Amino acid sequence: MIKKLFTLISFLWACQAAYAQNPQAFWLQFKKLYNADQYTTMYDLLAPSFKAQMSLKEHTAFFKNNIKQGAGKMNSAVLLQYGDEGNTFLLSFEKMQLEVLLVLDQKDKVLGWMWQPYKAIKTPTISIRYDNPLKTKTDSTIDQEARRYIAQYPKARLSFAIVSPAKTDYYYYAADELPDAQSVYELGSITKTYIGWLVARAVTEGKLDLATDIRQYLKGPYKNLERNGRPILIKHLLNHSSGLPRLPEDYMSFIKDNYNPYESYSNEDLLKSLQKSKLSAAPGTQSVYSNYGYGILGYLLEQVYQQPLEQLLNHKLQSVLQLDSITFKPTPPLIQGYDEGMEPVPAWTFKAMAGAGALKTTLKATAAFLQQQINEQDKAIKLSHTVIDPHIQPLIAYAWQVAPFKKQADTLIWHNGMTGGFSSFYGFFTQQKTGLVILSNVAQPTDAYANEILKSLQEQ
Amino acid sequence: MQNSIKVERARKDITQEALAQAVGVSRQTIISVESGKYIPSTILALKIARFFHTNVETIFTLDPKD
Repeated sequence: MIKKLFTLISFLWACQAAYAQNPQAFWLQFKKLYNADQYTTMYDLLAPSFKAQMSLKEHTAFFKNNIKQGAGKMNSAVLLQYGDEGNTFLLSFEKMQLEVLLVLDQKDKVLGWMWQPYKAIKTPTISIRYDNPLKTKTDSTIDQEARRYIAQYPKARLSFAIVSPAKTDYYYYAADELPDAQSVYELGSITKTYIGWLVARAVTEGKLDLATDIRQYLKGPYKNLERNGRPILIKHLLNHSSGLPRLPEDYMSFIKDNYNPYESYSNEDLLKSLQKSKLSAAPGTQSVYSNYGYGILGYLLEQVYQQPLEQLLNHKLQSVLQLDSITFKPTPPLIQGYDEGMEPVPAWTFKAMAGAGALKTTLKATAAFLQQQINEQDKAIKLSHTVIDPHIQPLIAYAWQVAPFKKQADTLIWHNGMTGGFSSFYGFFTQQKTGLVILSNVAQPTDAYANEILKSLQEQ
Repeated sequence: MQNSIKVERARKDITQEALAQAVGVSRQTIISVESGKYIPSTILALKIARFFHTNVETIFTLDPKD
């Protein structure tokens, strides 16, 4: 009923003058007169051209019978938006809110106005749930970066950890359901740092030598796995300098499912690919980031320990570092991942390429592993931070990227990861002994956000 | 490794630039992938295949000489 009454009064003049001079003063005066029932004085707020269209009687009837009866006394007016035709105001009355498009002339007289019930604009503002004490500068930076990420990627359920030698702080952000310390994420290529640690472990246990030709563990001659007389050594797989490509040359022909590219590629396939691979450069001379190389390292570790990689990793994590178990399998409570366009996608499964990115685990477990990196108490962990070859850029240790961080006399040791539906970052400062973990269930990189948080950590 | 990205682009009248934007990489990356100089990451390969509504193995096939 009310809606029908409050329709367009006059709008024909809207285009003539779009310059409201002093709308706040206008509404103050309007309010005073309207609340005092001085409709006749109010009529003088209208411009002559408007008066010619609307008699005092019509004017009075509209405000007295419709607005006053329906909405009651006026409380306030706030500007909702500027417009080419006029400015829109939100008027609050005792009983309801009304929206008024107002056009004033240069003397602040009403050329036209349109009254209608206020329809709250369906703004796509997401209310973000979070778990963050918001006390320190780092807390605030995490808050800011989490909100920035979720605003762009609304499906994201973000987990953060700030890790120091004796303490870890956890933070969670999401537009809908908050993740927690037990939510499982795919870590993607962060897996490589776990493999790096296993290799370091094998070295400290005397089971592997970084200078060993990898062909010692492969059955067959593999004449192709050398160049200029230089064979691929285990260390070349660690710092991506083997000369092998990013993926086996025949790899794409194994991808049957656009959403699960590693599921079918087996150890047998890997050994066959290795017979045909060509090295792009002599081993130990150039860095080419290679999932292939880490697939091979996983295979080599299985040969050395005569155990499946997942089992071996779990065994070592639990017995050496007293850490929780991890998994390579997409089992609950793995949370739903989303691709770059916010579509839900299935988790990735792995066979031979597990070493490149199969790991699935929680924020708590990832932070605990990072804490051990910071503390460097395990010999193998300390060893795994050693740069393999300082002459090859970027500097790479046992999978870890080693980077001097800006002007500070500190070094950031880090890795990131991405799968079809997840992305991740973790790293720590060797001098300051603080670290950061970011886990996201959206395949959009978190590196830029991590960088902001790392900067604030350094300033703290 | 050979691939049919160029053919697929021609079929759908898509420029390298448009494909690059759609899958979130530089045009230079698309050029390198098309010419076979650069083996894309699995994620990029998946994005390209999905962009053309086909499978990775359809787009990226082995050179029979390899």
